[in-house]
Amino acid sequence: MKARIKEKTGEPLTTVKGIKKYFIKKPSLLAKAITRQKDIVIKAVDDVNLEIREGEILGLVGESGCGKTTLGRVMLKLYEPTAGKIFFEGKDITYCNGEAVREFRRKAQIIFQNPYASLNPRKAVREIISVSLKNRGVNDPRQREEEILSLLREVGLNERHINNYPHQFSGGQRQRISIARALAMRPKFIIADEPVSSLDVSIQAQILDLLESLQEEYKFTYLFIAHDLSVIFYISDRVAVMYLGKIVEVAETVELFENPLHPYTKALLSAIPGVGMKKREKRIILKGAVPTPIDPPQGCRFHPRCFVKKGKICDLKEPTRIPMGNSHYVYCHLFS
Amino acid sequence: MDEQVQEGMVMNVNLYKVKLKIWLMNFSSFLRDLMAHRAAFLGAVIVLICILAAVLAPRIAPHNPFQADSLRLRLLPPFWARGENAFQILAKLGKEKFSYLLGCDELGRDLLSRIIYGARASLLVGVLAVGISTFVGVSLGAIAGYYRGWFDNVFSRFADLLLAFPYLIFAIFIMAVMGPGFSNLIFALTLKGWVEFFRLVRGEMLSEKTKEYVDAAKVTGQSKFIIIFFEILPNIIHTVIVLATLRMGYMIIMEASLSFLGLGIQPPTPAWGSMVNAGRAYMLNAWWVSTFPGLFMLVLVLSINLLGEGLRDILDPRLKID
Amino acid sequence: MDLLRITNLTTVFLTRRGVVRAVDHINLRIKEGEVIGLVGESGCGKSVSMLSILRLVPYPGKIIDGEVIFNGENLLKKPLTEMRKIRGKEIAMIFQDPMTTLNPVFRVGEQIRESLRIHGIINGNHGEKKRVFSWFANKARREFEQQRVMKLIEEVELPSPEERYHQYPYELSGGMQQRVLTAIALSCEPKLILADEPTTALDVTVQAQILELFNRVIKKHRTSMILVTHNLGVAAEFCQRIGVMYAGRIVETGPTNKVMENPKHPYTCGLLRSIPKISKKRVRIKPIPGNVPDLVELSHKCAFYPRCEKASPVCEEKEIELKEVEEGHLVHCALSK
Repeated sequence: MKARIKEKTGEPLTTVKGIKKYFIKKPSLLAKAITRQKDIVIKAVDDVNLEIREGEILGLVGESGCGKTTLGRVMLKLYEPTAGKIFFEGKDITYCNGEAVREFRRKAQIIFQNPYASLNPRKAVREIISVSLKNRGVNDPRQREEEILSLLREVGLNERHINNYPHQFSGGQRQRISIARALAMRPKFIIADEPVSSLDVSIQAQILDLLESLQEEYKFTYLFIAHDLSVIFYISDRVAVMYLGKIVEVAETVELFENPLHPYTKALLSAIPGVGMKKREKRIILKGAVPTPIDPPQGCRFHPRCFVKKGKICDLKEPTRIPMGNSHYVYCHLFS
Repeated sequence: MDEQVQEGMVMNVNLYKVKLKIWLMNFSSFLRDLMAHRAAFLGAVIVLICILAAVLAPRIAPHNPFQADSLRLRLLPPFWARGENAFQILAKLGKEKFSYLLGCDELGRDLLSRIIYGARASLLVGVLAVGISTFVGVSLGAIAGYYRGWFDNVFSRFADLLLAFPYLIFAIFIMAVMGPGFSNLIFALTLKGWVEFFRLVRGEMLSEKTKEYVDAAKVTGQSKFIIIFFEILPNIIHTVIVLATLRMGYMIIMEASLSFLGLGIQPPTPAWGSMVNAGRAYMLNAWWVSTFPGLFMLVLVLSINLLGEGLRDILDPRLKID
Repeated sequence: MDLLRITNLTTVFLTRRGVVRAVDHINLRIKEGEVIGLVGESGCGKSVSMLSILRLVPYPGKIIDGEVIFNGENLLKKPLTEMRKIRGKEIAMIFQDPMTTLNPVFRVGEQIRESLRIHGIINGNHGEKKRVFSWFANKARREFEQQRVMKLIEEVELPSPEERYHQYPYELSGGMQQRVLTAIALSCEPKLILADEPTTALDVTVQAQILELFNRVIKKHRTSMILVTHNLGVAAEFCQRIGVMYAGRIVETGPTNKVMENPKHPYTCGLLRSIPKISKKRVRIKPIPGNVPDLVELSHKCAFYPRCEKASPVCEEKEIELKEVEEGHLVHCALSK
């Protein structure tokens, strides 16, 4: 039994302020003229503020359509934000170019969800990892070879597989290759975008275990995106809950799970089918489906499905961040 | 320091050896798949024979394809259809009874030799036209598909415009404007040929660039150029290879059509299309002059198509199973 | 009386690489109104077992052994025409991905009606062989069907039922589509529903909704259900008994609470230890080493032997039998008493 005690430096490694990412689909000129079709705006991420401290594992949890994947991509500069700023190591990297971006790329990496699509099917393992090493600056082929072998060992893959192609590996092994690729850059910050969601239960455990061991050894900072709450509970130091493009609650893991404040968080936690959970009170079943981020509701995004609405204010005004003490923040009118 | 450098060089060589071994392994498994696919294998063998024949034409052509040995050999029938007359003529010329196997054309030139030399023209046109089309189409398509924007708009519309014309009419028009000749022929064929490759690669690029390994490459800091041509394109190239192979047959037929109309390769250079055209007037009494070139063309194009279809089966699902 | 009793069911796939024993001598019993869970990872054979019950195993699969006794009759020996009467009517199936299971070009109401029409349910009586082909005749029948479909749509709690009837599947969300599939399954009032990972593709709050729907429906109609899932939490909450499958065999079966609290098979133990659980104290997970074996090359008496921490020479000695360790709790392990 090991409690997670972390010594945090207190310095935020990466921060996002006011990040918005809208995807706009413009109809063709003809459609606009004839049918007066309007632009379709998908507000994937709408005004998010988040701070990740060095050495911590922040879990980002939410259901489909909540924007967690998009937020992760924006933080890694794979998408340009529609508005807002990204800070990394104290510097504003929102619109930087050239050498600054290369610097950032060396320090921030990502592990994807889909082990089948995240590796180039035409490249052998050696080439996949070589690319990372070359971009880090390892120019000597002999040194690269040695490093590749040691990386493979580290992620638990047999060295003999260095010449194999992705389709010859199982899902779990491919994830290990992705992890090796990210590791090769010796990053400080790793975004793990649902890295175990497509894997079998026993393989999930292996990969989670690997990610945990690597974090213990190298003291990475993780942004761990997932929709499975037990996984989030297990691996995160702090958890942020997202709904429809906005963050609704942020707290340390144990605090969030023992004392959820936002109604959505409560519903989410209550929906988990339980193995080893203590007998709960009646389960909260939300009405309706998870909405799409096209044309979200006015005011608090959750109000159409909320079961403890305060009143009119929920329909009209968006809630702001309310500190509840103990690093616990909630975005809900019930607490203002 | 010297030792280290030497070791490094040895390491390099070893690495290349390993890469070569891997490449050979891949190629031999590809060959094995090819042999398992009957139709494709047959196609491949015949195409190989044609290529060899074309390359070794001067060695294996039994007679001179450019000039008749004697005008009296005009319209000599193929060896199984010869009558007394034909044997007399041959005897007078001091040739054997079964020389000029497939007969002679209207000017007395050996048909078989002309056909073998004609293969050169056809194959050369096929390879060059397809090769250039592929190069141009793939490059433009990859860039258009990846970047979208004005480049994509301009070239897509341009491609749509070109597609509005039927291929043959367009080629005839170009040839009529520029005059006949080999390089003009290639130009005419490639001017419209690149469009198919452009569209194919652009379409595939649109769907491939959303895949996560592309994001992974971006995150490791690869430049866009390298991503387009060295990460994504290798995954698209198998469909391009299939299309190129199938198109080659089509180019050969186009060349034959243009030569048939007198716009392609000019006499006395042997080209199957013009040979068919020349024999047209004699179809009723000397059918072999038109028929044999046509027959060989049929076999070659059929084989190329079989090979192309087989390649489609071999190259594509292999990436999906396992 | 058991509603369904499966004995020694074995299904193999004859592939170029060899014979794949997808389902290897499984035994299962289910009573009326009971919900049992079939838990296992991908490739363990749980989906194929369900398909085998309905004899829907695709080529190159073949059921080569065993009996499936449903309501006193062996389904494996029935002619296929009679099987078609059972599929959908007596035994219904709900598949995993509602997006691909529903036909995208037909409206939702029509798809639910199709089930009624195929089984010739006219005016409430079931199993009439008389099939009316003419569309124009029998207006009464169409009205009846429409009413029945509306009732079903209401029962599965789709909001605004009148609109839903005329909508296409792509207009509905994942949860709503799954409700439609449930409606189709329930349309002929089956005695048994086979649910193959019905909530895997859904978000967790939607999953809760669907499970609650299942609960209500089962209680109301006294239907039995076999719930196939890889999520032990879902099985724990929802099923009265569960069976754990590994490499085609059911390695442990018994009442849910007994299996979860007191697992006897090393695989079940390993599985439970490797799942992160939400509890007061954070317990470090212990993954099971190795990979799921290739079903073609099963060379040991016990398929779990290469990965088992309790492996011993006893495991290789002789054929392993199913042993009852406590009431209703059976284990397929050489080391259990």
